[in-house]
Amino acid sequence: MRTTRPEQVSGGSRYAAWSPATLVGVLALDGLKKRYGDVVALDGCGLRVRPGRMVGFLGPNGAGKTSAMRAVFGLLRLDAGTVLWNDRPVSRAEHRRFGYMPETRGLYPRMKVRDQIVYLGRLHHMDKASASEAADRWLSRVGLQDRVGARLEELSHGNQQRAQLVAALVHDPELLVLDEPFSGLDPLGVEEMAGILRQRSDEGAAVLFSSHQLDLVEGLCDDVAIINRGRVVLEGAVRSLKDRSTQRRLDIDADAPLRVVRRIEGARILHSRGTRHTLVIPADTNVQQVIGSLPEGVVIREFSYRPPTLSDLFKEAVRA
Amino acid sequence: MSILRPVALVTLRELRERGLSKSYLISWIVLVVLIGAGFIVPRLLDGGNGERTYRIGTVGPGAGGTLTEARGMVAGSLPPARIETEPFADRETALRAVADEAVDAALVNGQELVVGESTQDGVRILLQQAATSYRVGELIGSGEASEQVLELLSGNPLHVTEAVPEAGEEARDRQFLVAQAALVLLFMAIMMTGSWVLLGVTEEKTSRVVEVLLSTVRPWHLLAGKILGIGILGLLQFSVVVSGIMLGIRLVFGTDLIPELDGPLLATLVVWFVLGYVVYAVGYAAVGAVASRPEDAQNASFPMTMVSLVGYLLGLFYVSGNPDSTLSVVLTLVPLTAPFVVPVRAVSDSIGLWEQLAAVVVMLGFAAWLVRVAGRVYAGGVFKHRSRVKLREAFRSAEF
Repeated sequence: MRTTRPEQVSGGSRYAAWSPATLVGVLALDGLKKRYGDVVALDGCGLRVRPGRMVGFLGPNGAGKTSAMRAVFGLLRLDAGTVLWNDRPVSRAEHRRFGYMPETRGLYPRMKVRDQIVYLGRLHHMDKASASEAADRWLSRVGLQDRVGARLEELSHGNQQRAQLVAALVHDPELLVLDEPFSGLDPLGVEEMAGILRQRSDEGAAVLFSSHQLDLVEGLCDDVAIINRGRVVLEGAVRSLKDRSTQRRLDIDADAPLRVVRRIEGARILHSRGTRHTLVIPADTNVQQVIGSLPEGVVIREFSYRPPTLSDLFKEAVRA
Repeated sequence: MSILRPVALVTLRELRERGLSKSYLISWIVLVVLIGAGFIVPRLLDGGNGERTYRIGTVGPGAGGTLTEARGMVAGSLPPARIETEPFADRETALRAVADEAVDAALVNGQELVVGESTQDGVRILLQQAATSYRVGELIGSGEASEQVLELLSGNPLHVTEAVPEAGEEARDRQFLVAQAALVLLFMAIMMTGSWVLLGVTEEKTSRVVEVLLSTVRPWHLLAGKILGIGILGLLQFSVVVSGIMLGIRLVFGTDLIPELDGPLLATLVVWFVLGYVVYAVGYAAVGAVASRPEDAQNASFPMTMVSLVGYLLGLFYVSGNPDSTLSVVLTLVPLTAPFVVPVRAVSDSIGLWEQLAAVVVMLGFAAWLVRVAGRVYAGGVFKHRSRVKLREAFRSAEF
């Protein structure tokens, strides 16, 4: 399914050859700055979202995720910085080709589900027939085909969330920006939503979404951008960020872990539980050597060496 | 066209969603009842001026002459009255009929007058006078002298002339009534449609749908579409209900109850209807954007409502009596009172064309300024959900 997706991307122009002509766009945020009085929301925030790539936008509460996303749609007045789409400043014409799911969910409570999806499609410059067709297609895709005539307020919380996703997708946007799309969903809902986002990404859309569910992001995303205090502190492909990390994790279940730790330069214990310990060790540690040099009599029940998880990278980046 | 496309879409949504909503349908009924009552109740109260009927019971012969006299006496009276008779078999039956108010009074054998508690003095006097005339006539026989005596006895020795206003004055009075009615309607329309705009904006804000909308359209698209859509629905409702009721009155009561409007006056009324609605609707939209809940929106709009109420009352009670005073001229050029003042002054011919045009220009300038201010207030208020935002703060912190 993902055979058409290139491994590495350097810019939008490469995609003209493989994706539909309309689906060529790179979103670039550069040096975004925004203050609300004394509060700094964005402090030079910059990131890229490329077509066919899913970018997980991570950061502690209040780090500036929502502000950065709103900036994409011109919903806040930036003190400095630019929002570019294919190297050109984003204008209203581009906004119509973007899809947005705000953190504060909301559609018209008393309007029928299908009617408002069609309405939103038309606001994105679809004609009536294709907006109707797309509304039906997407509502069926998320399993709401039997509720199209219901008012939004009559739907369950999960179904309202599905309708909200359809509202962002109805016009097949080239860029999807979703603020916490998974919050409040049950595991099945999360899986369904993730599947749809993955599909759109595979079809060539650029996808940026924020989340606190790091395991999910790790499994789903191609790239991550970690923001802290208004500034992106780590950005890149999940895989290469892990490889590039100067640290590795060592999970060990042994009688005398301190004797192991002492043999590794720069190692420290991250946490311990009984005889089970997790260590942070430098990436250039020769693990074979460590095992080989252990004195006899040290019983090892478990020994695993791994790159840091996304969660590890996140904590590392945010604490730095 | 593409710039207007979002406005058209927003307008169409308002027309469709609001036009088919239960609350809109209910508002039709409320309006029919309110305006209908305003037009028809005074007519019904006026019904006291219509023809009256006296019902007189008779027992035995001998009442004929008296009744003929009585008929002659009431025929020319104002308001006109007529006499119906109902014969009874005997005195007892007639007494009961009067007591039960089946008839107003009864004559027994032309000699006795039976009256009840509710018999009007007019009926008593009428029948007594009629009997007097008849008997005097019988006594003195026919002849010129008897005619003169009868005329004296009929109780109307003085020739009566009724004074009526001049035709032009009457027409002006009627136009004045029209202007006052138009003022009442304008005020009602502004209050009603203004509250729709207010609650519509607050609903979009509190349901958070506004962030989705604003990711693709400008705030002014939303405001313009909403004000246009609601304006169309409101004006449609008012014009249909008002002309329907006027037509109904023409059909039922005849044409003379509805004054004719001349073209220029009608144009003035429509222009100020539209200008007044737009300015107040834009104001209500800004207020709606700073409110955090629908209940809060009503409170926040209170000052606006007061301003329109003051303008309305000034137009209705002050300007109508003093259309040429300095204050009236000043109020003509104050945008928030002008919609309630210009129509009144136009009716009484106390506003020249240049003054009207000046008022329109001031109004348009004010509307253009207000749209910008309201747009900023909207942009600054619409994402702040925690509590009501101050208008000034919303204006300052506008984000887009």
